[in-house]
Amino acid sequence: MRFLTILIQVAGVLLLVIAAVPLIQFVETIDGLQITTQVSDNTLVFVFDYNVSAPLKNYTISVYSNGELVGSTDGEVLNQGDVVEIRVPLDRFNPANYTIHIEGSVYGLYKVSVNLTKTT
Amino acid sequence: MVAKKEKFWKQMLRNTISGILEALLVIVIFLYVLPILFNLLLQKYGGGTQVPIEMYSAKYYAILFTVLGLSVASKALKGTIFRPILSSAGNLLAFLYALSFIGTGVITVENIEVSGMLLSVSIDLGIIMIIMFAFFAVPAVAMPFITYFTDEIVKEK
Repeated sequence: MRFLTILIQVAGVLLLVIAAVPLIQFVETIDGLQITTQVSDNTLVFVFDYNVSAPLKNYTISVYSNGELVGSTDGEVLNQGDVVEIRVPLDRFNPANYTIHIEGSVYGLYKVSVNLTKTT
Repeated sequence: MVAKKEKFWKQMLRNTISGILEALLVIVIFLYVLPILFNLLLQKYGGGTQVPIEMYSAKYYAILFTVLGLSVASKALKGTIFRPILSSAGNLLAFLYALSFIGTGVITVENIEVSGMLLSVSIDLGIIMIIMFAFFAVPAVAMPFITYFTDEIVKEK
């Protein structure tokens, strides 16, 4: 019985390692999320280039400025190489105080939330 | 009477030696085999990540040897109700220690500066906790009692 317990636990450790791989993939490649901005017709366009190797399912990307929601987008899945745009009216955007909030689940398994804040 | 006592101590000694041997096996598995396996798998699929160094801290060794002590004591007390109690207590201690690395299940890394912006990341480790509970806590705590009561029922029959 004791050996059966150890066997189950070793299986558990292996399962843990397998379960941790997508998470490690996401964390290690998170710097692959490139954010650039462009200005056109009184709108600021945030371009999100998702170069993270783990897909993000049921995602929402929101931009807050001075604590107010100024633009957002969502979708079913964000795969490596996908590009997402968010248009923000320039008159509602304060470049010295804004937050980009990204929410979703890695492979549909791990809920993650990423906040990028700019305050001066 | 003397022969009975001698038989009891012989049995106790045998159980203790088998407990120590089992403890040595657990030490080899948890201190050497699993970390090596962990690192090999993580190196292959996780981009070279290593097992956290905290896993080898003094606290880790203290907990490990307490758990092993309880395991040896439970083995020595074979046939009594103390065996499943001590064994489950040791296993529960090990599980709680492992759980202390995760806490509430949500890990947050805050205030990392990336290109002039502050980055914070929160990850919900619910699945990891479910695996740990199902594969570690439940069998480790329930098995000694199942073994004990099964043995008792067999003895009675």
